[in-house]
This record gives sequence, C-alpha cells and structure tokens, in this order.
Amino acid sequence: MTSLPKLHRFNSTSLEHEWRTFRIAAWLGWQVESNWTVPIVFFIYAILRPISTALILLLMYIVIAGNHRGEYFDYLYISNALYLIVMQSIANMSWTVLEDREHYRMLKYIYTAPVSLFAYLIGRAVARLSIGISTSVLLLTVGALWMGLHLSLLSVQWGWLVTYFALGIPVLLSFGIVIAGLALVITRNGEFMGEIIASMLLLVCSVYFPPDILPVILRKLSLAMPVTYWLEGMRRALAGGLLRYSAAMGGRPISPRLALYSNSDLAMILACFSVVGVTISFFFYRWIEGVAKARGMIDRITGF
Amino acid sequence: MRSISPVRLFFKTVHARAVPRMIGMKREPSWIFLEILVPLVNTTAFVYLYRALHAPEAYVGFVILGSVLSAYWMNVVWAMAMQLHWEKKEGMLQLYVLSPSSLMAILVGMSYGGIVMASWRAALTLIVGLLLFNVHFATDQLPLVFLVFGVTLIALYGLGMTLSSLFIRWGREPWHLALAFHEPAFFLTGMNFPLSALFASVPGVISLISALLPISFGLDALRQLLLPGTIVGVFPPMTELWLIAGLAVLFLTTSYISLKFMERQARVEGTLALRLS
Repeated sequence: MTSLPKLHRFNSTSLEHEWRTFRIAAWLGWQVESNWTVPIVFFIYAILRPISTALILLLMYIVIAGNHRGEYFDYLYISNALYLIVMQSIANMSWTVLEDREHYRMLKYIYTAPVSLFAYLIGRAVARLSIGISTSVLLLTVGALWMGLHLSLLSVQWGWLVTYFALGIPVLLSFGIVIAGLALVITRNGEFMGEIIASMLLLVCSVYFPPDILPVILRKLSLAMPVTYWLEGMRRALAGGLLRYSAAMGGRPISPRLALYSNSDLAMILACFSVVGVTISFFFYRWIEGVAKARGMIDRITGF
Repeated sequence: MRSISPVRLFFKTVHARAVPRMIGMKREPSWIFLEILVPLVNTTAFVYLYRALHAPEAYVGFVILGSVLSAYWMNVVWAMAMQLHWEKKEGMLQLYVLSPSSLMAILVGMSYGGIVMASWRAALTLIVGLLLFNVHFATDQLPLVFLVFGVTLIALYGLGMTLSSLFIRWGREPWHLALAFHEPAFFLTGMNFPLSALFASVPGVISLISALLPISFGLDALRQLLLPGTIVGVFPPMTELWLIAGLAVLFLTTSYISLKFMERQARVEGTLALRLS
C-alpha cells in the first residue's frame, strides 16, 4: 500500500500542529494589518495615532504645569505608551473574530479546516501585539529625545522590566481571548465591545492618573484589575523607581496606594493573575466556542 | 410617468436619505447608549487627568465641550466620509447614480440625518457631563453661541461631503484612513486643550491644517463664549465665526466639484462599482 504524503501533516504532534497554526496566523495577521498600503504609509499610519495622543497629553500637561516636566509627566507619558500594548492585545482580539466572520467571511472556513482556532487567535493577536510593542518603544524613544521624558537606558531596571513584561503579556492575552470568545456569541454591537473595554481600562487602570483620585467604587475596581499593577510595575521599571510629585508638592508618591506594594509584591500579584487568567480564559473559550457551534453562530452574518 | 420638479425631487431625496438614519436610532436604541458610553468614559478620563494636574475647574468645561463636538466629528468621519464607500460595497451606489435624483441631494440627506443622529449623542454627553461634573456655562451670548455652532456644523458636514467623494475611490484604505482621522484630528482641533496652546507650540503648517478643520475655530469660539475669562482664544469669536463661514463656502464648493467628478467617473469610465477589498 502506498503512503499518502499529502496527509503527513495530520500525523504531526499536537504541539507542532498548534505551532504551525500560530505561525501562519501571525503572518496572516501581519498581512491583514499592513498590506493595504506601501510600507512607508503603513509606518506613518501606525505611529500617527499614538504620536497624536502623546501630543494631546503633552499639551494638556503644558497648559497646566508649564514647560517644566515633572515626574507626573513621566507617569503620564510612560502609561500612555504602554496602554498601546494593552489596547492592541485586549481590545483588538474581538475585532479579529468580527472581521473574519463579518467582513472577510472566513471564520467558517477556519473552523472547518484542521486547525485550532485558539492557536489561530493567539497568532493573530501576536501580530497586533508586535505592532503595539514596537509603537510603544518608538513612542518612548520620541518622548525621551524630544518631549522631555526622563528616560535613560542606564536607569531602567531591566530585570524588573523583563519580569513584569513576561508576567503581564499572558494576562493581557487572556483578557483578549475572553473578549474574542464573547464576540463569537454576541450578535449586536460587537464592534463596540473592544472600544468599550479599552475606554473602561483607560479610566480605571491608572493610565492617565493614579487610582487614588477616583471615587471609591472605581478605585476598588481599579485595584482589582491586573492592568493597574502591570502598568505600575512597568512604569517603575522604566523610570528606575517609584514616581513622585515634586518636592514643592511634598514629594509624595504619585499613587500612595500603589506605593504600598514593593516590586516583589507587584510581581507576585501579576504572577497570580497570569495563572488564573490563562486558566480561566482557556476553559471559558472552549466552553463558549461550544455554545457558538451548538447554536450555529460561527458563520452568522449579523451585518453589524 | 408623473413628472416632478427638480426642486421637489431634491428635497424628497434629502428627506428619503435622512429618514433611515432617524428611524435607525429608534429601531436600535442600544446604539445611542453605546455611542454615549464610550465618549463619556473617555471624557471622564480626561476630566480626572486635569483634576490630577490640579487644573482650574474651567478645564472640565473645555473637555466636555470638546466631547460634544467630537460627536459630530465622529459622525462626519464614519457616517459621511465612509458612507458612500459602504454603499458601494453593499451595491447601493450604482442605484443612486442610475436614479433621477442628484447625488448632492443624497449627501445633503445623509448630512441632515447625521446631524440629528449626532445631536442625540452630543446632547446626552453634554447633559450627563454637566450633571456629573457640575460645570456651569455662561448663557448671556446664547444667540451667538447657536450661530457659531450652526455655521460650524455646515462647514463640518461640507467637509464630510467632500471626503465621501474622495474615500469612494479607494479599496481597503478608507477604513484605516477613517481610524487615522481620530486622534490626529483631536490634537489638531484642540479637543481637550485650548487651541491657542496648539498655535503657540507647533509650526505654521500644522496651525494652517488645524485652521482648515472647522471644529478648531468653532470649538475655540464656543469656549470663549460659554466660559468667558477662562481662555485666551486664537481670535475673537466674531473673527472665528467669519473664518468658519469661509470654510463652509469652501467645503460646500469642493464637495460639489468632487461629486461631479465622481459622477463623471461613474457614467463615463464605469469604474465606480469596482469593489476592491
């Protein structure tokens, strides 16, 4: 009996299979994001929005605080740069599902193909995430060179930076997977979901201001969100320590509440969130995918 | 077939294109809720940022006014500039071109319906913002406020009509272009800070681009009128009103020219129905 060479991929191990799906999805994600125009236009497009947001924040800061850049400016600028990564990984994952289902109408084919949708979504997310990370790095560089951000390669706490980054990314992707799962079953207004979540995170996750100034309910919500701790850890690592108001304003930490946590505490909190987040997102996604299949929602075109 | 005068046909078309937008809001009230929630949360974030910077309370009013006008900007970008592109994808554009009504009437109808749609969002954002943050506006120059507001909307929707004729020529680009019109436009129009701060700190070319966006001077004039004494405007409100009126004339003219160009392309070259996605 002759062998069937074309079917050899089905004999590969599950891990190899997932890796192949992930790799191709990441490549596809990159193509979808970038090949609608020439590279230079895509580059300008990719940085135009983040740079504009940074300039808005810079001018808001200048009209109140003048031309002196205190540590609050560092807080604001670094948070804004990192928030891009949060947005790309969390808010845009649901968009991948909606885009594939409604616009390209490919989701049903991906389902019927012998690939894991979980690996596919992670691959697509990684493409967006890589754009988010490179834009953040660029924004920080521009800030340090031209906008008065106090950022020096010598003062960055590289060990903590790598630790927080490695612990935070699984949390962000877990969030994204949960939202992508919800996008599978939501029929109306799915396109708003990512935007709403991004806006809520902007408000409650100490991006532009510390959680201390929020009303009690929002403050509690802020302290229950892993993104709050991730941003705090990343800010400290990039700025080389805890950020404080100027001596004229008492020199107290910008967030006295978050200052209660040491670097190790923050890392421990993020590690716990990572384990819980990855576990919950995996099982939640499997469950909700089953619901979507059972109800025939995979190839539904809602027109929203 | 019963004949109809061109003027009557124009206004019937305007009405016919505006009605689906108004009916759509009643059919899907969740849109109103969601369209208010997102900007309100963003507005709240900027309000808290000013509070964290210990800014005077008038800046809260600046942010809320910016949020109100951003409702119209978003409507212009997504429901005007993008609309003909979507109509093309749905196969409706050919029918518009073939029908005896004018494309200008269709765009005016889209604008009229869009203004009604966006006004819901703007009004609710204003009310909720005023109640949540206890902002007080001066009301002694209300007639001028409404005049500035009205002229700003005419100029803004004129710009939207021009953009809709341009966006239609592209395939996948308009989506990204529309997204790229968010934050850069918020920056250039001084949506969250006084416009004079922008004009004082950027090169002249950027100030010129800013001046070409009707919201810039519209918002600056409204802030001077509603929050007097708290802001140094780029120009006095009356001067800014004349500048916006000039923009209104400019954009209505450009929209007419670009629409004629698009119609020619549709009828002579037959390329309008090409779908590139």
